[in-house]
Amino acid sequence: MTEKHASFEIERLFPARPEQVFAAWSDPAIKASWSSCHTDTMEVEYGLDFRVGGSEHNRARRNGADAFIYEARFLDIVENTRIVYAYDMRVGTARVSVSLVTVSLAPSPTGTRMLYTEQAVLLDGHETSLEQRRLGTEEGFDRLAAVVEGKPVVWETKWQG
Amino acid sequence: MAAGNDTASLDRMFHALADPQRRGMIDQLSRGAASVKALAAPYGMGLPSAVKHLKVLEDGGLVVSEKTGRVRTYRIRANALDRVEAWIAERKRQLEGQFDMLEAYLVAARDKQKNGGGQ
Repeated sequence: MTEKHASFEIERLFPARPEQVFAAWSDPAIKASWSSCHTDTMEVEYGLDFRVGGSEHNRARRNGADAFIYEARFLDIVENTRIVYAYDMRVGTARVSVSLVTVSLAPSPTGTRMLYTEQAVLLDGHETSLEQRRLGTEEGFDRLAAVVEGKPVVWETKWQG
Repeated sequence: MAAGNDTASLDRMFHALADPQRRGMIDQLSRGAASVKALAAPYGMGLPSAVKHLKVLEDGGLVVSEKTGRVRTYRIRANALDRVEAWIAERKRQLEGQFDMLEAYLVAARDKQKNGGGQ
């Protein structure tokens, strides 16, 4: 049994008002459009109950068995300003990680500055499972490339977080 | 991690990973050592091009090579990717991809409002 801790930040500037960015996190249809996974080879179930104490889940099943499960619970919400949630990630039956995430939004001269901070505990070495590594590595770049090239986005991702 | 923790070596490592063909080479090498020719083949890549990519991976501290006779063989550098660093790198890439989608959505919503909303 091992526990390793990791923390990182991502800062992004969006050409939209904080209310619009906040809506993209809180509206289930919009949130799913940019964060949930879509795949032909798996059944994916997504749900978002955006309120303090509410949850978000993304469950991908292959042949009736859970393949990837993301579950989050919202701990603090300040409209247009802050979202704090905890989530865990499971691959099969193994819990890979548990994280605390803070998303803070602030007006910037060009729109909104978003700061995403994740503090994670990685459990029992599962974080290095090769399949997860491959999926995680390819996913972002494929979507990025599609967006940059103006092509329809192909959602081959097997899990999200 | 093996490549060291200073920013320059991290930059080289992430640069090395920021290419689908190089990631493919890493994937292939994770199954065992391979020659330049064997690494170039899946991409229909010329040998000079493969050598360039492998040099980037080597500079990034991800692979090592040795020459036996006329054949240069590459293998994954042991413990090249610290587990936690690797997890963070993957998680960041994944999130950056999602945030690119979010940005694309926000830009599209803005343009739609500009063009069709009369506001």
